[in-house]
Amino acid sequence: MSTSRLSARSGEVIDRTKTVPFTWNGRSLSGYDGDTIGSALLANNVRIVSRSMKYHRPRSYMSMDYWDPNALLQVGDEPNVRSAHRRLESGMDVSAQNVWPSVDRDIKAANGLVGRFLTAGFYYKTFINPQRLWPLYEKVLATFAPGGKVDLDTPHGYYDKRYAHPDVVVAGGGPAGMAAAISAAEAGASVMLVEHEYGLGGHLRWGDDSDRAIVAEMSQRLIDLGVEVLVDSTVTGRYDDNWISIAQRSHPGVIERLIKARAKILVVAAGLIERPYVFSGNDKPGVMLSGGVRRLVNMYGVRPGSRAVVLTANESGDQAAADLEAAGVSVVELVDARNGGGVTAVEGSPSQVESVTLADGSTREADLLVTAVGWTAPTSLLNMSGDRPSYDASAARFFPSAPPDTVLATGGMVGDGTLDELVGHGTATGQLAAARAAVTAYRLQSTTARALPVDGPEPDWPSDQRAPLAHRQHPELYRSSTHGMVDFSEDVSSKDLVAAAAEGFDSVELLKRFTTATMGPSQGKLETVNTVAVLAEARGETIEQVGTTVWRPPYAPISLGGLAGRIFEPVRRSPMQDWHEAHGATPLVAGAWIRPDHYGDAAEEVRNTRRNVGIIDVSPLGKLDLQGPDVPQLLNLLYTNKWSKLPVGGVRYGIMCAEDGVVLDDGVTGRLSDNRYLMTTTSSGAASVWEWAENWLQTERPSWKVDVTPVTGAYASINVAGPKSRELIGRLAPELDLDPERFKYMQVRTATVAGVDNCVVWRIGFTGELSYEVHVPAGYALHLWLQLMEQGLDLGVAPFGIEAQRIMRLEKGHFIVGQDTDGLTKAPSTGMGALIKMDKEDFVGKPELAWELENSDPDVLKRRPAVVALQTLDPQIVPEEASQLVRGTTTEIIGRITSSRMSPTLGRSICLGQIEQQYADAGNIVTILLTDGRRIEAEVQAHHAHYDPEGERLRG
Amino acid sequence: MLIVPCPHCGPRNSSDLRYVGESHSRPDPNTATPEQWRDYLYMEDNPADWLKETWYCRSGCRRYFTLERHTGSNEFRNPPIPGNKKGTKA
Amino acid sequence: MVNTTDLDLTNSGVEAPTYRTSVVVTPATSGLADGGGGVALVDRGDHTKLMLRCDAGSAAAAALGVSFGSSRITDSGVVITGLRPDEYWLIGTAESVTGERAGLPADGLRSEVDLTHGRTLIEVSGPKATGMLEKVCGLDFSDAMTPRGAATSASVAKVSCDIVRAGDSYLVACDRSFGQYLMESLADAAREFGLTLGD
Repeated sequence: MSTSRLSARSGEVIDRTKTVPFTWNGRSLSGYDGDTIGSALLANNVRIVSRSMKYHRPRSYMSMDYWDPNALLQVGDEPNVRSAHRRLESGMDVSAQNVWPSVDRDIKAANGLVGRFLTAGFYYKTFINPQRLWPLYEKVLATFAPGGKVDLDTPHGYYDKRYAHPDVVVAGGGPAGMAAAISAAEAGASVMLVEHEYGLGGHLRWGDDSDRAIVAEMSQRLIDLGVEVLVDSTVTGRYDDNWISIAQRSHPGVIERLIKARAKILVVAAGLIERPYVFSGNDKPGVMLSGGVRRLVNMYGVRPGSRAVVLTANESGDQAAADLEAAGVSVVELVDARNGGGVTAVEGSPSQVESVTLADGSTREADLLVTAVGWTAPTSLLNMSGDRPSYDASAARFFPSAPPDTVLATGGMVGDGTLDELVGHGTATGQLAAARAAVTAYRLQSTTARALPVDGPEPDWPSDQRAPLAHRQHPELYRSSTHGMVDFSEDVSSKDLVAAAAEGFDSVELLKRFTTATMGPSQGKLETVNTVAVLAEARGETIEQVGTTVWRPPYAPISLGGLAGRIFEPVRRSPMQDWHEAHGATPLVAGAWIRPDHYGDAAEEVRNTRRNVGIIDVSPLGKLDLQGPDVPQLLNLLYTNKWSKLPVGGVRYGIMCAEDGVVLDDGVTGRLSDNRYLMTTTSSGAASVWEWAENWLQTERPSWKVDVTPVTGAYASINVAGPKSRELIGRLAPELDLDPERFKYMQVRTATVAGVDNCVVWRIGFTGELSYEVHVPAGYALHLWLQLMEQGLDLGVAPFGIEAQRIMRLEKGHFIVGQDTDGLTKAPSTGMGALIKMDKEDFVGKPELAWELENSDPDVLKRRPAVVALQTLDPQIVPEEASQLVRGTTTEIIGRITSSRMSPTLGRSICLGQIEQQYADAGNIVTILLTDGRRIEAEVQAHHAHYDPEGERLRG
Repeated sequence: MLIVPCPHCGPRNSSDLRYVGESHSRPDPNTATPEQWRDYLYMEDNPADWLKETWYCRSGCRRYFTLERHTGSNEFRNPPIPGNKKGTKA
Repeated sequence: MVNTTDLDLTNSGVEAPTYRTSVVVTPATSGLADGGGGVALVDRGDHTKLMLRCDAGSAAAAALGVSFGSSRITDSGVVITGLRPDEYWLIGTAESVTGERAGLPADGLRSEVDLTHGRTLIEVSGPKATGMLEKVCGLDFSDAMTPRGAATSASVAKVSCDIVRAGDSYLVACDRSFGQYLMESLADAAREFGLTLGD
């Protein structure tokens, strides 16, 4: 097939010796190594690559860079690929998006015929009524939505993340950015230079040989200085204290890598983005920006047309005209806007420019119109730093105003000049950045405990002595005398904007949201200032008066995978977890812990534990080592009950409240020796109870001598439960006196168990059986577990999991903080009133509880929740947890089921619940509303315990 | 991300710390009225101004401290105060 | 202290205990180890880790000879480090830690907890050790900010860890229950640099 490829040119970035095959809509084509997808398609004479979003008008490449609004393509399973930017790779399966049946014959182009109905706000206004039809509207409209196809079967890719702490981050690798990076590095700063495109040099990349020689020289200097250069990478955001996010697409082995950099100084050298011109037909294929033409010809050797009109208001247009002539394209008219020349329209078929109408009304036959009408400074990173750019009418663009002094701008975005002047400004900026970074480094180092000591006094903060770049005169060219497209990605025309302003959406932020101008994939990079200019014209005001919208992160899109980075999901494992898994345990994820839920049959695990002996791994139980003379005071403060008289060897249960009286945690604490206690917390509360204790000790009671050390991981915990548990422990700890008169329920001993010294053994348990909880130094835990299994073989020992424990604790009526209580459950509601000692001088939550206990308003009292045990009248129905308790035949909620199970021991359904106190008397019959709508009855029990309420088994 | 000046470690990423809240004195639990107590529990000043607040250096030195931050500019002023008798809210 | 010697058990049916560290080499980690040597990870779970709380300005604190944020290595090879303003750690073999502990004065020594079983300890070394740590931890590991001897705590792969730059390597310690996860996370972070597992 025919080709638009020019003969080889000096400075092209393609390697003509390496052919790269790819497909376009199923058709086999080829390009060269170094091509973008877009340059390869154009070289193959594929011009129409997309359809516009609303009207499905044929579109072709315009700016040939990342922001090209017409260039989103599907590549394999990846949608929305920026094809003017993305490098061509061998075997790429490239296709058009949002077209049917094909990009060349798109039926949805019929939208264009009814285009007058699709003005701004059309969807809002049309599909709002009747609301019941919205699901239907949504379904139909979705088929018209732009964007590619997401393949849900795409395998999870490998993404990456890293942190960095460079002295200076330079955003933008054009001449000024390179110069800044070089001078900062020469001054001793560590520098990271980030360039959005595949190569350094900015506009010099499509310049002449001497331009490229300068790029080569500066690139070599950057390497010699050890500057970390990231190409095909984007500084996507700047946050507090120069926290910089960088999307790196060029790291080997990963799709995308997020770099979180803490830069002492950020240099913004983002250059300038060329602005399109608004006139009739300006989105017709064949209208291109001067920068796009220069890239295409000089970097990729592709001819963009055969007969061109060039509208120029600046050097870039002049050079584009020269480049076209040199490439053999006939420039039939050079329209110089600096001398009053203009273009009002292009005409032709929907898919091709055929003629250009000039301001004087004459026409020129041409298939290419090149415009060079001005620039937009992409001040995004400065906006994110708090800067609000200001407009200079004489230069026809916005400039930075006053960024914070840790953010410096340089290059084309701050002014104009010769290459030498731009490089000079960059050099001065790099020097200033390095000098300021040195001050910040000094401050960080001198205040950081682990850092090297600093030498000498703190240097002064250098003031900004840079000579500013001039603002060169440029005609204000936004819209011609005709109307045309303003936002190419969103299909918003200048007419739409004028109409929306007339409807009252005449502030730029409102206009943007109502019309969606600047909200498409280009994100305002091309169209923001044109939008403002059209609005200013409509309001009869200046651009300065209208102001601009604020650019927010990200500067360019980042993939969700890139944001997630490598996936860090910390997992906690007990020393026995491998054993559990090897023995058929079903894993239960509880917070970060992986635990054995059951080993096949939880009910049988319950029965065996009640009949013989069972062992359970309860290592996640929170454990705090408390040492010091003031531990009893701390316990008195944190728990609601009294701790002053706990003897060595004693264990007590306690409830902790927050300051508002709500139950925070519960657990047992034992006194191991005079000055040493072991506190246990709920598995989920371990970290927060630790911080809670530290908070009180450090802020309110700094004179108390208590050292708190978390030992959750240091001790693995095994509960040995069941009538034969004493026998089993006795076999493993022959020196431990287990006589029930001397080692009673709620006592603790330190002992050697299975040959392991320093085990903590206490007689407590959640199951209601005689049980011993052994906290064993974790490195020996698996040994102890194996010994329990081996030595208990003839006793019928078997492991049990969390589910069996939950059943047994429910049979026994033990509540779980956070399951049977919630964020409103105050301590008295738990039925543990005996543990709330109001005669203590102070404890956390006391005033609130005192008020609660003293308040005798019966209307308030009767509605307070109470934790109660419930049994359904039909013993075979287990109401789902969270089923509501309702009053009689009404739907008035009076409580809920918080825990429910079928009890293997009792052969019936058992529950815990919260219910208003007026309904909480034993024997009351209440109604449970099941999730399937049925109502069943249940009886409130006298005790929380459904099983052994007197506690004879566990005390035996 | 904000850099928070820990009085022990030095400047740290705010993600290394836990923001405890505004620093308020705990009233005497035996004399406080319910109104005073609830004011302590629930009422925040939330000024657009300088604010004394408590932080906990969770990933670092595990110390609580109080410092002054301007809620508009996120600047810190005055040296942070280790362990201050303030800010015991959950 | 870790005691792996045979014990004289009164009940002959009970086997002598075997000490196990938290880090088990799984296919996930061993599959990443290409012996490339950019980063070497060694499980030092068998090291004794003794934590002491000492009053500031006390004789005990002075004898330890380190301040918060720093560490030193004794002649017997024990790493002594100040990880919290009043908290010190002695890390090394059981005998050498016992020896160093025995030499400390009692004045100002408030409490001690042997956390040998409670902490996973991974030694990170190799020319790319810093590069690997920068992928999992937000600290500045430059020589100025984290010089040799520096000691601090931070989140590593979302787990709270203590980090000591001891000699040519970094010691990274976390709660034992996270040990397996931490090893796998470090190995994954190291894979672009070439990974060696074990001594």
